[in-house]
Amino acid sequence: MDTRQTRSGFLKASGAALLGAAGLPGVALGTPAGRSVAVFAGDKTLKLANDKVTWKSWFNSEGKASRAAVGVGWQAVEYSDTTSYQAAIRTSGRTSKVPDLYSWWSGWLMKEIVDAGFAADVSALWDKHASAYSKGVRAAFTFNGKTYGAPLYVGYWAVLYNKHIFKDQGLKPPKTWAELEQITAKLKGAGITPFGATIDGRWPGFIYFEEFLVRSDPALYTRLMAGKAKYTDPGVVKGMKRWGDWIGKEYFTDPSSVTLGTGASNFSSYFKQGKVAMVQIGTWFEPSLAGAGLKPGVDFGSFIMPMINPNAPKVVIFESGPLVVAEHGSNKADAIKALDYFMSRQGQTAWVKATGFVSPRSDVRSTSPADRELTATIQGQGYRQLNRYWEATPHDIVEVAVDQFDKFMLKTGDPLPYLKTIQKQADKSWASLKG
Amino acid sequence: MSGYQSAESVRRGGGARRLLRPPATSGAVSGPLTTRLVAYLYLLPMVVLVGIFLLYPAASTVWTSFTDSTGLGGSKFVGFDNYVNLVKDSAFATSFVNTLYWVAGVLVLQVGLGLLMALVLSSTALGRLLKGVFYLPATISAAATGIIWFFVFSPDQGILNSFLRLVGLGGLAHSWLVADPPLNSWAMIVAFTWQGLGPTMMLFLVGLQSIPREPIEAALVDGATGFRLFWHVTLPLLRPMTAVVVGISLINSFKVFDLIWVMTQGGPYRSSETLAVTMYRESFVSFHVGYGAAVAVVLTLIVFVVSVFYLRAMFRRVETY
Repeated sequence: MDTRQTRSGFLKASGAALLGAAGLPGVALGTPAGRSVAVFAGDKTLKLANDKVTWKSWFNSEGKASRAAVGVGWQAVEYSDTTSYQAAIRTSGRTSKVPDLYSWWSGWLMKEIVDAGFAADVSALWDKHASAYSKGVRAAFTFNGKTYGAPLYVGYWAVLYNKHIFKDQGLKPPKTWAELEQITAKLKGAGITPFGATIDGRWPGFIYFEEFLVRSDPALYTRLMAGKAKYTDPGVVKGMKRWGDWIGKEYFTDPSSVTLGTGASNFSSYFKQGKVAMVQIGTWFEPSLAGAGLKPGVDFGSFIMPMINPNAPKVVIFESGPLVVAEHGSNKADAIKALDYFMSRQGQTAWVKATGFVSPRSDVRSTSPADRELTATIQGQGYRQLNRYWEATPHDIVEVAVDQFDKFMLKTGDPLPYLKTIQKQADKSWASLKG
Repeated sequence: MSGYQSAESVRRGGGARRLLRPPATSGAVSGPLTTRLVAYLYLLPMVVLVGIFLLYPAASTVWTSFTDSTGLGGSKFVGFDNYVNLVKDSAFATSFVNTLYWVAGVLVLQVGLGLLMALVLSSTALGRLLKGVFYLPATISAAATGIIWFFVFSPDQGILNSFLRLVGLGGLAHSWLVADPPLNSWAMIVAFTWQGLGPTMMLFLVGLQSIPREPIEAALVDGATGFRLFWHVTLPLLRPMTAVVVGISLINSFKVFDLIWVMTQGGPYRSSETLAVTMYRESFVSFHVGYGAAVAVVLTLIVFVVSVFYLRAMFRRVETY
């Protein structure tokens, strides 16, 4: 928190304090610079840095709710570019200038900031809320026995499908891989592109690689993420070939002309217009579809892609990003207090209400029917949850891999040269990590 | 030496020698001790600023290039490993070649077209109005230029592809920024040229206006017209300004970053990176800060060496002239 007070800020705060002393209700007074002024004794507004520009109003409404409940809230500090954001946190992480709270990524990216001593140990909060959070979620944020950050979001990765297209074509969500192949063929025949795919922003390149691999051999995926299998192993090559076969059949949108963001070429508009029927994506994408005027459960639904290998255990990809308390932040104790609220039932209820996300708390229901159905399926059918590729393997490898997957999507052919390039980086990365 | 005197010196010929070798000073730093101290005190703020904001970061970057720094502390000295890895890195090779495309493209398109437009506008009645119009793109930021041209080159709804389809040339429609590298680099060079053409043209216009009338009139009397007049008389007389324009364009093309970052981020699959983009990406995307620093050092050395050789060669010619 910026503790400097401007003269006008001081006068406003004094005025509010006088109002409070006179028994009148306090009012939140904003300054032109965006700094909120404490209007009750002990109220504080922290800074919550993130690279999720479209979430700003959600962050701020939750920050207000936190301030009302526990006297410590926050305001969002937005970075429109992920790269600049990561650089800002990395360069300020060991100083008191670091934002009090910040969003980050789980897995290997989180391990880096934990190892660097940038994240505060919040194990006590997890102990306090243990009954409401699964051990699996806590494990994603635990390193060397200590837990850092709380889940800002938990997203399952599923196929979001246009219900109207499915109805018009007489289709139902598939139960088997064969059924999915029939659906894609029928949609293609009707002039509808079955799946949305893009290389916009680079990272989406891994989506279908991951999916084709986990649907055929989830154990191989797990070993590959841990450096115990190679990208050139026959199972991985087979998954890529299957993906390449679908690309060849034009089952995907042109990855160079569709974006997941805003603008005329964004996926949501094609999906709404009925030009594309499905997309494999995290459930966090649902608000984007809702923003395009599509209602979950009415206009679109979700299903988990069936297993290619019916004998393999059913799996679903999940991702979870933490909200981290800065170890060196100047308001660490207050930030932990705010995070405690965020993890609470009250905090999660307000957060889910604002965002429409799935809550990692077992006692907070999602507001989206599509998500509720998905969660019921995952819990009811005993799906194993696997961490998303982006977080599951060292980032050095991910950076090289997404470029190779993007290239494969544009120049589909023999997948081996692409996989060899990734394996070369994997060999280097694992050697340096083990060394 | 004032700008006016410099221009006069150039006009009289041999003035560049004086431009390069400033007249002997009156001994401002060779007087009594107090006078010299005062002189150094005047210099001190600039020396401190240059030291803090240029020399220290530069020395720090060179040092970092010999470490395995990830930007999170705890780096160790790795000798020339980063430089050896650069040589082996195919992404660096692509980046280096792309940088050469940029240098060649900017020199040919920006400088060539800038000169052509200056020649046309200097002899057109509408020149005064048009030069303002052509200068307009230079007043917007490179990021805004990137966004504008991103939409021009957009495959589905872009102006370029829409136009091609409209005139029956749909077969030429393309994913300009994605498919078939290095086409994406050339597309961005066009965008960069669009923005940089105005200042280049203006500099050439100033150069044309400062050319003395006498040699032109003499050449006209001798029967030189058109291209011969331009090639043998106008162009040599423009050489001092050409040296400046080419020098600026050369350096700008080496360090271009923002436009590429906005339009392609060096993608797809690192196919449109230049050295400046590679430097940024290695340092702030992959957090190979040591490796990124090595790219920065190589880029700086290239720009420095090219600039020194170029300026020496050009001013030698100017002096000869």
